[in-house]
Amino acid sequence: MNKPTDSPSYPSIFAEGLWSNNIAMSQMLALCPLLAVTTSATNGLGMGLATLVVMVSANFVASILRHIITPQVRIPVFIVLIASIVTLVDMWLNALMHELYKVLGLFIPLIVTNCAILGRVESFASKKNTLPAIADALAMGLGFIWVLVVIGGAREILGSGTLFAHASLLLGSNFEWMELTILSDYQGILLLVLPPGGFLMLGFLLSLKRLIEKIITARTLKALNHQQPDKLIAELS
Amino acid sequence: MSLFSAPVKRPLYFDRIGYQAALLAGVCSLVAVLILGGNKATEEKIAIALRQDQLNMLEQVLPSTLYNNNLLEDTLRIPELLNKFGSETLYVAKFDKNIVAYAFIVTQEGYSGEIKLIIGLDQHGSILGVRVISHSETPGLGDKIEISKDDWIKGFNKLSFANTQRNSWAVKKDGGQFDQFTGATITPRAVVNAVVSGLDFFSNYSTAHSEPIPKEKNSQESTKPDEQTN
Repeated sequence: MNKPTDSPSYPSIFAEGLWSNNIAMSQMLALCPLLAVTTSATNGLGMGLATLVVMVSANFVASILRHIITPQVRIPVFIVLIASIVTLVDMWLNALMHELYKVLGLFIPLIVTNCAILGRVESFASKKNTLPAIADALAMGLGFIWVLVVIGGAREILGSGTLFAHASLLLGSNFEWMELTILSDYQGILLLVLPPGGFLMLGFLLSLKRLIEKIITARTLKALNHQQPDKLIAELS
Repeated sequence: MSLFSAPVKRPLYFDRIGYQAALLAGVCSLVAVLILGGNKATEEKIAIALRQDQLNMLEQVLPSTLYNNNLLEDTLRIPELLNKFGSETLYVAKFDKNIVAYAFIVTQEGYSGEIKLIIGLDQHGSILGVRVISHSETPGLGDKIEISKDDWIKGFNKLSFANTQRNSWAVKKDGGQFDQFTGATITPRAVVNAVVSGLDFFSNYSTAHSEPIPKEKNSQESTKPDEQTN
């Protein structure tokens, strides 16, 4: 166990957030918004960006206030802070990106209940300096975004034959080049757009991740095979 | 407590109930101020966006070249609409104070939940346009009622009780004139029924009120410049 004051290095923060301790793929948190919005890559990206903004602000505020918040009331304080940040994001998204809000609107308030955000605040930001806390939120948020975009993209291509449809609603008209029609006149696999498709895609992605990790472990083992056994044990444990 | 076992020395007042209450109160009031500020900064923009949404919705069934009044203000509240469809607003389109068209929202139970449609009718009760506002029909089957997926919904244009017999207002499977979709009959049937009940409402309404009957036929190709109000 790390001592609470230890600050992990920035590369390891990002490695954790993007891969080894990824919110959706390893911690298995935030699956409700993940399964619900990923019918297209654009939706996934929008939801991911909103979550990222909330995460960074929540970690930042929690880290600043960590010296005045007492352990006894920390949970209510964090929840109030996260809920108000989400409310503000909700308002500004509605005002500035109304078209996207109409797509995502239902899911933005749900970010409050996203245990991943409270989890990062509680386990990281409330014990660390501000900069590592922000870095952690960025890493975790980006890790969440890529999972959302990959699942959304896969479901969109197989389900409706497009990729990043309506992306210009999210990113502005300069990004119309992103809107691709991969398969024209494509009937689509209906199942993948429907809710079960989300579970299926997540399952495929998880097993792919496990497979990659297995291959990496096997390679390290092979490389270590001719070295000292104590080093091998250290690597395994 | 192990989570907070940092070697940082915490002041003694941390354990007092008073400090904790004050902390919670302080955080809550700070947050309340922030949210009030955010609301003040965004409410105007949100209101404009919502008005634009409504106008966009109405534009699909009432082309803005047809009228020159402010549709969002020239509305009537009809209790019968509220009872039947849950939305009481009757939008009245006028050209130089003469009523030229109406629009209202109708609902009907579809295959999986309510289908909400907006109907635009001219003053004689023939359909200018029907569009789906919201639905939860099966993607890929029932969602062909959306204009973005299929032109099917345009099949209602120009129809009225006057030019289409009552028993033709059904899908072909039921002996009517509207196509059903492969694998989805319930959805188009529901839409046809919704339109029929909308037309029913309108014919009751126009017989009960003398005002929908035009005093003078209004030419659509009017030479007057269009003063749009949007």
